[in-house]
Amino acid sequence: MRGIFKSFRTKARTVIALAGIDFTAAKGSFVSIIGPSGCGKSTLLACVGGMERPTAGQITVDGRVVTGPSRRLGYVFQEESVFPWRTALGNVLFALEDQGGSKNDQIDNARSMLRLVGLQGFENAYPSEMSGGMKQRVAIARVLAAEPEVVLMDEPFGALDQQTRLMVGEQVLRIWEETHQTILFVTHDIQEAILLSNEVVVLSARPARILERVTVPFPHPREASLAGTHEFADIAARLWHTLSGEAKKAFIENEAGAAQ
Amino acid sequence: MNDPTGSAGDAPSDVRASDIRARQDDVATISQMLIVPILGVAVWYVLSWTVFVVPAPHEAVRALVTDLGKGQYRSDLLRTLVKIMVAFSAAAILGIVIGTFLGLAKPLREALAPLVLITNGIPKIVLYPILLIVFGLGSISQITMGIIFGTLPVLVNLMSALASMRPVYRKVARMLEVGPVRALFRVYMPAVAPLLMVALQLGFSLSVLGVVYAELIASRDGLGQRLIQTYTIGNYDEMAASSLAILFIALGGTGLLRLVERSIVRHR
Amino acid sequence: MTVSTMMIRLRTSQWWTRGVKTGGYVATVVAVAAVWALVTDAGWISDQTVPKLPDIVDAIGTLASAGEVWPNLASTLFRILLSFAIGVTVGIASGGALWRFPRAGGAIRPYLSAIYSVPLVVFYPIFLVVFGLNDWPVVVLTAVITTIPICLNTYLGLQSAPQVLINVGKSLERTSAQIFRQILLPAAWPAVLAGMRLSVVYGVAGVVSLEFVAAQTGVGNRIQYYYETFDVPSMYAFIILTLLLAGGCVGLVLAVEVLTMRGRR
Repeated sequence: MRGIFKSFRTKARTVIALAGIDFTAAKGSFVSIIGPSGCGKSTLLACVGGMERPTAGQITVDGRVVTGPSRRLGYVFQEESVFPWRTALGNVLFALEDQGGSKNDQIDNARSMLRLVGLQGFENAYPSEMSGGMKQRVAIARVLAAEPEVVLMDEPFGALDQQTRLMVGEQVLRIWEETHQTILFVTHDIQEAILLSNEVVVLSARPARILERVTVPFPHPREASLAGTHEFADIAARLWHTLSGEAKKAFIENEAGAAQ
Repeated sequence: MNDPTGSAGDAPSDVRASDIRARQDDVATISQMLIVPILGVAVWYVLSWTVFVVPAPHEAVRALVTDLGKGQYRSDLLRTLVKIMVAFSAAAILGIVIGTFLGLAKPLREALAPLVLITNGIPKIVLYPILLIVFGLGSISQITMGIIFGTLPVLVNLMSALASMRPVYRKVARMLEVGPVRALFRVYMPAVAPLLMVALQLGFSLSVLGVVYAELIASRDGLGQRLIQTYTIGNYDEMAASSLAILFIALGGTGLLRLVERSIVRHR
Repeated sequence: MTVSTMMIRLRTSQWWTRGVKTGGYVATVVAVAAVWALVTDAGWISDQTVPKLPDIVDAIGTLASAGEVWPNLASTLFRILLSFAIGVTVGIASGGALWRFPRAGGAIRPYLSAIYSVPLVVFYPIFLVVFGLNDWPVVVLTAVITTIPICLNTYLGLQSAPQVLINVGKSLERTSAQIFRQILLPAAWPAVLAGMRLSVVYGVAGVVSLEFVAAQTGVGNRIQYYYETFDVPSMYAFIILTLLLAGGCVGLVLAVEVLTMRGRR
């Protein structure tokens, strides 16, 4: 799968969010996108997912140009996106209901998706009975049930506490190790990015361009203990160094922007 | 500040003590619920003794029971009830349809917002004489008044609920390529269902208001008309009785809708 | 400053939004008037049912010179303002009291919400009996009607004031009265205003509709009178005047809102 991005300019308020992004992601790779706050990484992902239109440039996925949201561009949102009026099973079923096939097949399919994210046994629980991590896993299951070609995750663990992040992150890693879908993963957490992905893309502060692309060479399957190794720390330090300069710039710009 | 019912201190070492405490809590809650109605009835009694013309509660109830035995009264009651049901049904449908369109289509909503706000702010009762001229004294006038009263709350509340629905639901619907019709019935409506129920409750009570007001002012039949008649004749027991009947209809309908609302909100 | 920068500054400025909003209202009124003129001119509806706009304006003129307009408007306005004033004061006071005594508040609150569903107009004949055929039944009943939304909203508004604000007051050693006045009331003010917006609509509607039934003066009474004497243009004249009156009252509350909420939005 080749995702080709070019330059964008968004918002008629002449705020240039993304300035000249060219990038290709190999099929089946797990790519993280990191950058300082407000740099536009979510905007970039939104463009890939078809949620937003780039002002200039084009995105193609597997040869087809992206013109709008679709099932093949599975999107996991940062905010809570599960439907509170449906059970976990109901939520995953939602992705399957209008796709044909017998009802029983759909239910079986939904169940296996929930098993994939580690929620077997919680099929009949309502979101009000679930923790934040569980709800995000339901959202992931729902997205996967639609059999997307690419999975886009926009800081999916942003609202979760540190421990839950690690656990759900590991879950995502396992899923990827099993399915090998192409995943684009936006996060602000350097450790998370290194731990989960093959490749880390660093964006600059607004207007964003690609500063650096770092390959993460660790083999799969990976364990969380990887974070303690020297090699891991080296990569983390390198990324941190690149980021900290940008982060300061972004901070100053944000403050100025809010004051206007 | 607000100290919860039940003790805050020692943990009960045996089951019986906590049982008693739980029962005390129940009694406290129930008595809290009943205090207001009991006080209300008590105040009514006091009023009936001090002010000559106000009938006592039991006299009003007795009059109501007697009235319900009379065929003519029952038919009036039924007519009012039917008018209310028809008015509410139409108001609900109108309010939901228009509210949905305005709620989901931002440009439409912004264009028509002034019209909606103006219509909301005017005393709609002034339109009743116009209805009387057009339709006469029959039920249609009162029903139409009920519809005019009831549509707006449903419309405005549903519109506002849909407009402030979490945007992520729309994004999920778009991503999963859910068609507009399916998105409406399977995503947006369920998302705002609790608020829709509140809107319908308001719509119902306003439909009642519209119909009763209209009957009070000018009508061929109905409880509202009876209310004014009994007042004019000076039959205050029956006047209070009819007031009670109207109150029961209003509370009953709203209560039913509230039950539906409860069952919808149960899992959220 | 280039022209395009100016355009952007203009389009995002507050005055532009306000201008567009007012323009929307004006456009709506013009549109309604246009539709009215169209329908009545084309003769789709008989003159007896909906008179032409010029006829109505004429009627207003006639009534004005006959000295009918101002006394009746004043009468109605007086009742509205009096009821509203009572409603606001009693509403805020009782809402505050309910908040201050949470047990009472908790017990009464569901009944307050339930009263919303009750057509309080059924008490009108009883009030007529008790107070007689004067201004009191209208004012008292409308005062009750306007009190309820304000009371409920004040109570809920005070409850929803973030505890942290109160704690700030306490840590600065303010008295309870000061905390209430300087911290809680301002925090609850938007909710109170929302209650006032609701109340003014109910208040106007209440006074006008009650005037239909048993008042000697006031616009509602006049509409009823001209309906019964089949003087359709005069009836419509007073209907339009009532709508303008209602608009004025709502405008009053909006003005209060704008004045007291500067900088908050």
